Amino acid sequence: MANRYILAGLIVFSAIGFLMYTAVNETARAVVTVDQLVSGSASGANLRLGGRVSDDSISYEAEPRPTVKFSVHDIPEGERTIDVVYYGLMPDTLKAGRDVILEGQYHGAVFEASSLLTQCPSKYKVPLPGKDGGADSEAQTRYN
Amino acid sequence: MVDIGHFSLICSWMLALYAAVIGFAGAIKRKPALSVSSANALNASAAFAVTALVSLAAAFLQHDYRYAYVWQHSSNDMHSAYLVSAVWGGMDGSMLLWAALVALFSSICLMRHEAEPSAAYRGWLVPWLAVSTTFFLTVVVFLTNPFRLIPSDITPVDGKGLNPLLQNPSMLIHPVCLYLGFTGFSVPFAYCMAALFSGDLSARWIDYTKRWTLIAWGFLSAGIILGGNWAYIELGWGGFWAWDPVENSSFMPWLLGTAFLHSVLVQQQRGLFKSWNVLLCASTYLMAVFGTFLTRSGIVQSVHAFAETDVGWVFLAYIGALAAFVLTGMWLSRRELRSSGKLQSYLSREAAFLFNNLLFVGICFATFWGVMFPVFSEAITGEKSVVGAPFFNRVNGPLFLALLFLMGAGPLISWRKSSLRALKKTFLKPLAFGSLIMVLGMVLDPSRPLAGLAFGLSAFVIATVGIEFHRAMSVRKELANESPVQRAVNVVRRKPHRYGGFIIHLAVAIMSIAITASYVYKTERDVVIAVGQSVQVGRYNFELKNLSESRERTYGALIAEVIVTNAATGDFVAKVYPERRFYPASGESSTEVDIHMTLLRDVYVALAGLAGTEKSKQDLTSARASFKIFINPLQIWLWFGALLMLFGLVLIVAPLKVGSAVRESVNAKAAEVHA
Repeated sequence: MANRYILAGLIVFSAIGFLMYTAVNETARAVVTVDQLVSGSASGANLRLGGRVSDDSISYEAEPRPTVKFSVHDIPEGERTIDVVYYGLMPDTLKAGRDVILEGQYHGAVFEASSLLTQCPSKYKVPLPGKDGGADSEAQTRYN
Repeated sequence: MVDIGHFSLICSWMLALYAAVIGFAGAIKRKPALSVSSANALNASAAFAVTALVSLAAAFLQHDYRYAYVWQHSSNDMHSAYLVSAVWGGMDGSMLLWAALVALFSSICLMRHEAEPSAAYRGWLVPWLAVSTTFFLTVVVFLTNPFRLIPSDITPVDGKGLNPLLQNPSMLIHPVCLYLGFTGFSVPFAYCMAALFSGDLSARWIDYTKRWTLIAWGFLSAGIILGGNWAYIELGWGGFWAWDPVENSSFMPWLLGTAFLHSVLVQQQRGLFKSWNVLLCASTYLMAVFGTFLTRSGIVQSVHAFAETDVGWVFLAYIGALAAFVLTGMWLSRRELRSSGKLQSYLSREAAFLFNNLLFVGICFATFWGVMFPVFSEAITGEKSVVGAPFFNRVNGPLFLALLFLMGAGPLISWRKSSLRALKKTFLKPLAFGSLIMVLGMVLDPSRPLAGLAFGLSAFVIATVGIEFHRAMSVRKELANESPVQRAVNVVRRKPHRYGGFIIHLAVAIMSIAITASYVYKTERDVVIAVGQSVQVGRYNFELKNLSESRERTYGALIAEVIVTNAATGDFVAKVYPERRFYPASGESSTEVDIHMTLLRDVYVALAGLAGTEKSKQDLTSARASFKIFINPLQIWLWFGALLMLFGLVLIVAPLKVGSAVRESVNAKAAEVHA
């Protein structure tokens, strides 16, 4: 009787194992840094790059095809930057200094992003007003 | 006045701690007086926890910015409904909500089941309820205290405000539903632990907790669906589910809870799966806690930005400790956990449930693996990799199809053993109908065989449910003169569990059709349209009639007027007004999509902004704007299906007349066993 359970488990879990194995092989993306890409230690298709958008680097053209170009560096500070091109509409949340997660390919020149996610500046991490009350006055000026 | 909230929180925590310690002492030494004291303390703890929660809400409503949490998550210009929802808009308050709900549930559970369990059982139940309450209150008091004051002598005159994305009606109830679901599972868990440690491992703990589990499951389901609905309406990317870690962290306990709801039936009917049910019940609760760890620890990247704190690791320690207790308890009662029957054949309902459970747990396992893949891959290969939505769709898609088949087949197979002849008789018609739909789907679109299979299986489920209702109703036809509606109502009332369950299955089949259609046949285009011009997407023409600006109290908006017409006939279809809003206070923008919903498809238009770089000084009469346009077939059926699912659940848990008679018979049986 116990054999019936074991057989059922084996059937289902080998099917799941097979599905997972093939899916991982075909969809996994390597997580890379700007430093790795620039120094040549990583390249190829199926990459995920996390970085921070460099100051004054964003440009956008709606035509002939919506194209966003900007550069990113490693977080928090990175000397090297890499140019990114993303064919799509300019996301609201893309701004200099924001952290982005890019998925796409890199073959030595420009990171071609097929997906672009900006991380929202977390409302869960607002710094507390300082003891000197400096941030208080900032909060006031922003709202008054 | 200042610190009623903080004071109540501390009292609540001390009482819960007392309840846990005294409760365990009472259970071990078998002193009912200690258990009574423990239960009283737990009730008082719940009252104080709720007071603390109410005080926090009051602080938000009064704009009391002395509290850092209030200052960080609200501002003077917010609507009072959103001020209340800001209570759970951040980490600290959501943990307090969680703790207060656990305390409240524990207390309700103690009052409801005062007379039922035996003294030994109750002796263990109270402290295990107190453990959950104590843990969450400890976290709130020491790590995420929402009553912390700002480290400044001057009280700010205004707060930082709540993320505009969270200022949405769904956000009022979606998180609460999720938390009700998560915390609801702490009650079945306590019953399960009490059963293990008191050695009373009959199906009684399952009888007691069934309704709790169903209600918790219902809230969790509603929470997940509301989250999907919010994403669809608010985020402007045209979808409702992205396999994001935060979504998965609510989905995993849902999967285990659903498996548990099915596997308990086998124990009740056949006395099998005893240890399995203990494991599933405990895992469901622990997975809910794990979700909290996942979202608060920053261990995996997510677009849902929760704080990356060390708090998460406390949850992992708690999970580990409880898991050790579960395994110890199972070892101690290994004799009582032995099955009292056996699995005679694969052609039996219990075998269908077995495969159902393996699949649910398997989907949970695959999802868990996918979420944790960055961590695992780094540990194993040294290089970090991630998997995204394609992984989850490819693995879980086929598994859900197998579940869909079982959902149609399982309820029609008899317990113990079915003969092939009986199966043939039962399944011929629904299987023929399902195959017909499948073949039709595959002929119409040979490039997507899996979509055809999904439609066919859904049709199979719908046919089995239809036949089952028809059969039950024809039996009644001979009994009484009723209208068809009355007859259907009476069928459900006589056996609410079975027929309510069928309605839930019907709902899931409808949702599967909608999900398949919207995943496979969605049209998505990014377009730029000049005022006065039009663009064709799918079978529709989109004409940008007008662009205008408006200024509201807290934001400025750019509004497009788009006329949708049928491209072939030129007939008017709809006029939509997608908006983009900019909130100067926070520097954030948001998209207000406009959706023209019909039974067959949604036309979904999101305004991405003005095209061209010199955004600010443009003449709007000659401007061009960028849009994201989606055409989502059958989308509305997902929401209809969800409502039907909740309706089916209400039929099961609502205390109908017949339902309470069943409960009385359970009580009588319990009393019998007692005597």
